[in-house]
Amino acid sequence: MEWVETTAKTTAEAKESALDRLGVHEDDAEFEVVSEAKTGLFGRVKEDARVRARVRPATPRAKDDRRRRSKGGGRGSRGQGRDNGGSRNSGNRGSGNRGQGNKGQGNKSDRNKSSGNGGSGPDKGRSQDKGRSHQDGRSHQEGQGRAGRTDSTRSTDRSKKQERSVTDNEATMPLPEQADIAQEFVAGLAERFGASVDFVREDVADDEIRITVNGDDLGRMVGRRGNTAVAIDELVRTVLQRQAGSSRDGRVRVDIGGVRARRTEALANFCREQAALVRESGMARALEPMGGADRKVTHDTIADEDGVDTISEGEDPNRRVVIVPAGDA
Amino acid sequence: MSAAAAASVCEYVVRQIVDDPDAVAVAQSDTDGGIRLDVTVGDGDMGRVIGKRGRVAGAIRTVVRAAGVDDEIGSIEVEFVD
Repeated sequence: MEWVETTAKTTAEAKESALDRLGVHEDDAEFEVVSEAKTGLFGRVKEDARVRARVRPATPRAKDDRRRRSKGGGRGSRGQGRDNGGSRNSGNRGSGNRGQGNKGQGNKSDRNKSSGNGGSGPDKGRSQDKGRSHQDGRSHQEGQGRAGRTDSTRSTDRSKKQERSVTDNEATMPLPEQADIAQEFVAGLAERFGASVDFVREDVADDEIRITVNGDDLGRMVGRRGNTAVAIDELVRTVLQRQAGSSRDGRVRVDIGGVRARRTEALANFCREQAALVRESGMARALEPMGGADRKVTHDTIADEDGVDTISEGEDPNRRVVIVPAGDA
Repeated sequence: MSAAAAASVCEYVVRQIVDDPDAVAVAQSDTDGGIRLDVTVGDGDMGRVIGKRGRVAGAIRTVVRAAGVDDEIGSIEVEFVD
């Protein structure tokens, strides 16, 4: 069950882009508003809305309504015996593919046939739903048993929103450029701390670059329990917000002296221990309130554990993760 | 070296965060147990410097104090003057 986290000016837009990432319809996703968009003190600082979403866990549905485009394959009841369950599971992230549709798909009255007509490229599977629903207005076939009318309304909505998000993205600064800004900022800071540093840059995910700062005299930049290192990362985020704009994609993390990596590992170990306790006892355990980054580590760690799930409770800064026995979430 | 590092870090960080770096000023004064840095910024930049729930301000204070640790100057206060 993979969560995606998105930010945007409003929760609605964040949800929309989360849907784009997941490649599912709103009805088939679960949302959690991590934080509302906020206007800060003096009406100046805008904190983007942050939303988490995932594909709703599989529940049996009426056959007619089985038109989900799930991302997480491999869940038993999902996609079985469907014409194209497999192919549409691949690489749904690229939201740009949405809505270009495969004209003509809608004309296939036989679902098996439509899966069999290979040769129209790897995009076929995932765009099929859209293609069909685009066609629904004109050539919807009774035999498909799909909710034609609502489908086409929805897909029209979606393509409109698609256009809008594409426009938004024009201002987005590429991640490597953001990393340049971050690195330059930290270099200037280190100079004023009297530390000589060098940088190691890693792409830790598609949308995350980690810059590890190494050097001999980093003690003061790390601080007690890594407090200063965390503060510097926070400042990097703020600098990027100002210099790269608030609609930037992805994330640049600065890890002074590698403390964050060590801390993350320690937190993950702790979470696995707690998960084991929940599994044994069957009782949910609430963890201390944590910041969003730490909560994500927790969720991600627990996601790989069997027999337990996580939920989040409360509002920042007291938002906390609760580890629950699987099925109770 | 009289808190030069702390003040320099403070000014550097604030200038990186605001829209109008030239309007940033850091004034240093002595207090009983240390020093105090009064930070002024241009119109409309205060929100940025303070941040949501004072997070940015807190981060600035943390980093500035860390920079001053070697200076043996006692406590370092950072005030954002509106």
